[in-house]
Amino acid sequence: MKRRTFIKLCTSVTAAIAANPRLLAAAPTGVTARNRVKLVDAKGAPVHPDGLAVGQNYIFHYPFQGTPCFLLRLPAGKVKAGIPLKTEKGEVYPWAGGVGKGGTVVAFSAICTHLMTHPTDKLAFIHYYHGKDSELAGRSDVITCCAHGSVFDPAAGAKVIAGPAPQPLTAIVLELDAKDGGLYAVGTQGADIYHQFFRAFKRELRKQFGRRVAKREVEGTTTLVPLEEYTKQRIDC
Amino acid sequence: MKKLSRRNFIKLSGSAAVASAAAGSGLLAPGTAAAKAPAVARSRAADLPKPKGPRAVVLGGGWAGLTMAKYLKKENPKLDVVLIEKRATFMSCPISNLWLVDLVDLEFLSHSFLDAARNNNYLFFNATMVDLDRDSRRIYTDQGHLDYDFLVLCPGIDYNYKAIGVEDPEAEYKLRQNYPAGFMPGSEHLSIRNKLEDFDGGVFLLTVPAGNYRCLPAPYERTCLIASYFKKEKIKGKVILLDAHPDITIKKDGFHAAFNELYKGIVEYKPSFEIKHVDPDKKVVSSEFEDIKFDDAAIYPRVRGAKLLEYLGLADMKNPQMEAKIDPLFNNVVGDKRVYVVGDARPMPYSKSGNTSNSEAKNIAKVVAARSMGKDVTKWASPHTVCYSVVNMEPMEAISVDAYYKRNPDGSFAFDRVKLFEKRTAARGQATLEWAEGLYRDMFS
Ligand SMILES: Cc1cc2nc3c(=O)[nH]c(=O)nc-3n(C[C@H](O)[C@H](O)[C@H](O)COP(=O)(O)OP(=O)(O)OC[C@H]3O[C@@H](n4cnc5c(N)ncnc54)[C@H](O)[C@@H]3O)c2cc1C
Ligand code: FES
Repeated sequence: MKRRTFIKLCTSVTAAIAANPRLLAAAPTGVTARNRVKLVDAKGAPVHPDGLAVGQNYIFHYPFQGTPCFLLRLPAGKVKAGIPLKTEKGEVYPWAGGVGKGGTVVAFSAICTHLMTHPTDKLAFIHYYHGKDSELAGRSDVITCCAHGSVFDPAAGAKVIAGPAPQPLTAIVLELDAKDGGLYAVGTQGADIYHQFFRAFKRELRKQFGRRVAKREVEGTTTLVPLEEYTKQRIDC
Repeated sequence: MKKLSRRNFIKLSGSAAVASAAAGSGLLAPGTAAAKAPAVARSRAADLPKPKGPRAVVLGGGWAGLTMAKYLKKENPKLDVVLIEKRATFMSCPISNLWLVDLVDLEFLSHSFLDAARNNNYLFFNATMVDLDRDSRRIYTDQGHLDYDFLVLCPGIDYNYKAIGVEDPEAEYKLRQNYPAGFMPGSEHLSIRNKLEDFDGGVFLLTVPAGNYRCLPAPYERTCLIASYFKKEKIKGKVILLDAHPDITIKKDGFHAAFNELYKGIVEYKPSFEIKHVDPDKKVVSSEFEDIKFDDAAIYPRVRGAKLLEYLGLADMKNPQMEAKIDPLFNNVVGDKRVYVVGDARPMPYSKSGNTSNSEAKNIAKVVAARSMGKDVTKWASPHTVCYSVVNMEPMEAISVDAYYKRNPDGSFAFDRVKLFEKRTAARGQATLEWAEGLYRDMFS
């Protein structure tokens, strides 16, 4: 499927707008539709929201084979779907929110919008803290990037709450399949830093994924892995 | 995590309180005495492509200048950006202490100005700036002259040996060559590394200068790493650190802990040591009260704004720091909104660090870009200081600080939102490298 921007926003946003018509002003910036990709576990089985542990960092790759994302199940009752967010260029978009009961299952690109630190097979300087404070943020339930101290709120569309990042983490738009009830990634929203990312990490990506692999779009399925299995060393800060 | 105490904050030098009235008279360049530049620079235009838009020239390819060139182009793509730098290769000062003791290789520190320029759509002009005529908006270099619509000077620092009692050029050059400070990248660092490798024992002397010197924690970090290296290599050496300040200037608990817990008997820390005289032949550093003998040394004299600014008439020579005379909020030369000074040459009392320069350059790029489009920025934005210091080699452990600045009602500046992480950890050791790689990515890719 070709990338194109579609106006059709996913259901949670439509609902949020119905509840708060003022959000309509922000509605035209939609979602960049990308391949509809099924999230699967190590055995190739679909991933269901109920099977996810609250607070656990899960990694999958989307929309490209070398671009890591976080999948998180957040504590109930905090998710602010539809909240207006702003890119560095000043474009406003209402966060598509999450799926599952209470919309608590959310996904974001794991590439920091400051200087693109991201979890690799060796190290994870950026991740979600739950049940334990991020020392840098002085609280938990945040995504903190230890490289230069950017802090994001995953319940508010990964909005920047501290540090130098100039825009929220790119949101990954999720869907639940009508038939198998499993999770699918269908698009992205917000910052588009993939081009810069591939340029800056060309050599590293080649080492981790092989020549020319990282830039390929993900098609069909993408495997979900707990962060601790994906990376050798998780760095807390 | 705790707050930085007020007295730890390097006091704002007099010049930093430059009146905000500085904003001046708009875009008209003020009258400057047209100085004399070498004949070749005067007579001939630089061999550069014709400008494709308003030309913004950035002088100095350090942390401020590289960031400035990239973000000027990003903020206003119509600008034709030229970066003038006299060095041919970038070598990083940050992380150089780690390289001194082999924790990273030289490749980690070295980067290509050409890559930076190509990836970010500006021109890299390998030349040395020698003069400036603000009336005709012309810059003179050893490779010919070029004209500007906007000029951002990011020349960094120079050393002031007179401030440590070394008046005689003969003695100064002995110090520069035999005991280089290692606070301007290149040969100084290579030389210190060779000294360490050749060191057979005895006293290795380091100093912390008075005033707001470049990179507050770096001399303490260097002390720890050299001591750690002595331990590892079983060298019977001692590091004596002479500090002009009454105590460690930043992250003091973390450094004291490292000195006491890791380097007892190796590091000797002497605070409030005001250097009055250095004898490079006898290898003695003296205060009013005491003479310290050394076997080898890296002597860090006082820091001042780059001499270029003095030659151009843009420095405040009444202040011992001799930094730029600029508007403290938007960095333009007082009365001239076409010329700016950014980076360690600024008079504001921010910590003179790479991260500070990088974030300040992004803020000021917005100001220059707005003004180049007939708009303006009216709100001051704080630079951001993130600074890791590695205090142990095996395992590699670091401490860190994360801070912003605020303006007091009287116009002076103070640290704001300071977070200190003074417990040394291996996680911070790893983050130190990621910090640097992130900033290299910002400047070069
Ligand atoms: C040992 C050490 C450790 C450090 N550690 C850290 C750290 O961990 N974290 C941190 O944030 N900071 C650190 N710093 C500080 C950091 O290096 C400086 O604050 C930073 O380089 C300042 O940037 P600048 O652009 O103002 O100056 P510089 O980086 O010095 O750049 C100035 C540039 O201008 C060029 N130039 C000057 N005059 C001319 C001319 N006439 N014509 C052409 N070119 C010219 C110079 O060649 C130079 O490249 C450290 C510094 C040292 C020395
Ligand atoms: S890369 Fe994440 S804070 Fe800088």
